[in-house]
Parts: sequence; structure tokens; C-alpha cells
Amino acid sequence: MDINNELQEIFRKVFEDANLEINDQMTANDVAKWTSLTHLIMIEHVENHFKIKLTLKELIKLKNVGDLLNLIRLKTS
Amino acid sequence: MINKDEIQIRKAVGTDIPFLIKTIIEADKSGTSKSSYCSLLEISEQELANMLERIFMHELEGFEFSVASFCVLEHNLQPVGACASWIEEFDGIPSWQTRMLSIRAEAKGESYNKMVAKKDIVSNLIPIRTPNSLQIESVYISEAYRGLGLFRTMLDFHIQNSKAISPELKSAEILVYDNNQIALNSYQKSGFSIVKSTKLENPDLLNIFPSNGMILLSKNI
Repeated sequence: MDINNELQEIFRKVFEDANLEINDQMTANDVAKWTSLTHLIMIEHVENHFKIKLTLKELIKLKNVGDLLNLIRLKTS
Repeated sequence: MINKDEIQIRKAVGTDIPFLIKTIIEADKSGTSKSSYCSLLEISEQELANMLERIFMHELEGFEFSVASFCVLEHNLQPVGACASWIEEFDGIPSWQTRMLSIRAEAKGESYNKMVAKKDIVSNLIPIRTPNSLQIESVYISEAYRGLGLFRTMLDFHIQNSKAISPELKSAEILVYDNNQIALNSYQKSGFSIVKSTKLENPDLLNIFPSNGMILLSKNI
């Protein structure tokens, strides 16, 4: 499974939508259960799943799913 | 009797942080004894103040836990009021994201876990802020200085400064709990009108927030 699919599985689980399909432009405005608190839970899942630590400075720059995917690729490479 | 002409307004500086923290906490309490941040994190006001001080040290912008967002009212060299503003999503990042990630970075583990566990209770209470609008937040004026029209002084200061940076700004927004009638009246008197409101029935909300309803007001600027 590639990073895109792995992140999609995390999104489906955290945001409780089995059919959710992520794309680079997707933001919290596009997902019903993506709230300020579920955003934090999603970040925890990403860190645990990919075994990475994301800093505040890295996280506050993320504008959309594409930015998150790029950050995961950078931290896991 | 306080002479309004003796009250100065200026941008906040680092030495104002203790007063800005008091401002954030008092505004969060919305005239009640309940701070939503204390309730969410299950911490004392002192622990909240300590956490906010650590967040201020990050020097982030685009939300209210930032010196750069605040103006301060001063009388006889003492701060007597403050209020934050920022342009929502000016850099493409919503203010809730910066706010929650900064809490994540600085809340103690146990408190953070208690907050996150409340996700199902608190979702949908806070109306979504409009991108590229001026957000007015954390309004506080010391009791002796209320009724002098100082909210309007701070509002005009923020509008003037923000329009100098971003002349295309068209609206200002402010969020208020629906039971804070005094604030609501003050905002409406300053030209704000109600554009969105929420009212949730979950009784657990009242254990966390000063009210189970919020109102978003907007004003053309």
C-alpha cells in the first residue's frame, strides 16, 4: 500500500466515512466529521502509523491533504 | 470619573502578555465563571495561564494566542482593555488549526487526552469563520472602564490597521455566546448583525461552555 492509500485508510477511520477518497486539494471543509478535535486525532494516527513526529511548525503550515502527504513523504524518506 | 480622552490605544508588546492572558481567559468566560479551555482540558485557571504563556512564546500569528494580534487600551500607563484581531485564512490556514495545534503542543498529556476525548460533545458548536474576513476576538475591558465606548475604539483601531495591510478587506466578524446579552448589544450597537447561530441540545455542553449556543456577527468595513 502506498502512502496515499495508507493516509486514506486513516481518514476513513478517524472521520468515520468508509467511502471517503482523499485528494490533494481536500480540506476540513470537504469532510463532515473533520473538526478541530478530530484534526488532532488524525495527526496522532498519522504519527503512530508512519512512526514519525510532526512538529508544531510543520503542522501549522499544512493547507490541505496534499501538503500533509508531502510532509509524510519527506519525514519517511 | 474616568476621562476617555486620557485612555491611549496601541499595539500590544511582549510585556503585555500577562494582561493578554487575563484578557483571553476573561473573554472565554464570557461573563460567567466557566472557562471553556479549563473545562475542556480539565485544568485550573493558573494552569491555563501557564499554558497560554508557553503558546505566546511560539510567536505564531493568525489567531488570538499571539501578541501580534492584540491592541491594548492604556490609562495612566496601566493596561485596562485589550482585543485581538486577524484576517481569517490570510495565509490559507484556518485559525482553528493554529489554535488547536498550539494547544496540542503545550497542553500536558493527560489534559490533552481529556480534551480530545470530548470530540463528540463539542463538535458543531462554533460557527465557521469566513475566510478573508477580519476576526475580532477576546474582547476584554476592565470593569471600571466599561460603558465608555472603548470596544468601538479598539474595533476602529483594528479595522484601520488591517485595511492598511489588506485594503480589499470587506467584513469583520465576531463570535459570542448567545447568553452574553451585554456583549451582543455592544456589538450590534457597533454595527454588527447576526449572520449565523448554533444551538445544540446536548446537556453535557453546559458543563464545558458558558452556553450551548453561539452567534456569529458580521459588519461591512
